[in-house]
Amino acid sequence: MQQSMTGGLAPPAGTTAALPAARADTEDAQLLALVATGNRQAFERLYRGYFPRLARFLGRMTHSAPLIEEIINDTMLVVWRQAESYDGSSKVSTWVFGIAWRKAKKALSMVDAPVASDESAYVDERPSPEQHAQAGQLARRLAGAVECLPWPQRLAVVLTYFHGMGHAEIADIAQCPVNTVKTRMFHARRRLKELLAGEEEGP
Amino acid sequence: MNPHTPHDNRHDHHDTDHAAAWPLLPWHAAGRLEGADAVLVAVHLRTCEACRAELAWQRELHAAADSAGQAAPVPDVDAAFARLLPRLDEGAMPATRHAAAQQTPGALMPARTTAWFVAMRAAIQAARAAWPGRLSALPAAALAVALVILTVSLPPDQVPGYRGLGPVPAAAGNTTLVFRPDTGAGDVRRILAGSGAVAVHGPTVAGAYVLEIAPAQRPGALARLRAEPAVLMAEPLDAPEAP
Repeated sequence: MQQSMTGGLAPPAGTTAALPAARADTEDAQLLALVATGNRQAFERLYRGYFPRLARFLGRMTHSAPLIEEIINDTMLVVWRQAESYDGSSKVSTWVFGIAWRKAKKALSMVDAPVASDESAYVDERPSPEQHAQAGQLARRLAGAVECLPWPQRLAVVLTYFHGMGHAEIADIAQCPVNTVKTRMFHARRRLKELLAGEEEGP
Repeated sequence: MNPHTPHDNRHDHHDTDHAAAWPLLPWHAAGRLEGADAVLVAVHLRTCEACRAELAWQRELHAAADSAGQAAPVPDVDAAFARLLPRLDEGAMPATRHAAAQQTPGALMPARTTAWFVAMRAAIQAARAAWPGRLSALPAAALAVALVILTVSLPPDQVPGYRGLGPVPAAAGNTTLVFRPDTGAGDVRRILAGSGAVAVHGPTVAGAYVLEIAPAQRPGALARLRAEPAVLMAEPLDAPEAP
């Protein structure tokens, strides 16, 4: 606590420019230490910082904006109430995403197989114009294919490809052994290849 | 886990490495492997055509995900935060505990919370007396309400396995410290570090910190703190000095 308090005394930095991951996590930890003291400004900063990331993450689980907002707010309420329980053994982002995943599982009443997924229901990913057409097409097909995966595989795929997380972080979030994450990804990769080979010539 | 029929049964070593490397390729493609995993994959890739092809495919998938837009409409952050705000106080002061606390705070409030409340009440009184021009301008009732909310906003009895980010001081604090409003974060850190104190709470809405200082060291620490131009007030909480 001493470390967190003295570290947390610094006012939130004024810049939000792209920070190296390690520095961003240090800033997150400082904000979280302030949140643990009931500091609402720090909480709002943390909230606004995580909102787009969590929305992006949850958007791979459900297309309902109200539901996404509900899960984010339920998640951040836990962050507010239990900031003191964060023990620094994982990155703040891992801790927050783990809470979000548990809230999502509850909110979406996740069963073994996802409710998805009629290909015609895929949301248009709208890649920016300057992107290569083929890459954009693969992105859209990948997003659609991801929604056909069972939840545990979908979690591993989304965090790996869309959030750039490592296998250990994913294991922390999913609360399972690292080897389980590797196994889920192994099966998910095979399934993705089949799905992506469906429309066009496969990889 | 090896999805490939071994290319050559004579190469058991290669097959073992292949079985270990193949599952790691998605993270190798993103530069997320470290240590032994990173070495294993890098070495194996030199001799495995199948893994090199898979790595190229994994890189395509990462690039595709990077260029993917939002899969769903993104809610409005301002509206979402506004809807969350009223809930922040809900869990902080459930009606039952609020009522109980008003009746017999000493018996029913968590010990740490009670000590903190008493400490802050003493701090406010001491601050008012020592600093009438500034603090008494604050509406006393509003300040008291805000402190009560802060006090119980994260009650320790609702936080399972409280560990904080480092060693947790057991005490609720025995000293209060208020800096001048324009004090920079660097000075705050320097002064706190120099005092030998552990900050257990703060800053409060009044800008006060509650410190824990070993009793034997406190007189000296108080003198050093009071000598700092940036310090408005440094007072013991358990035995407030005469105003």
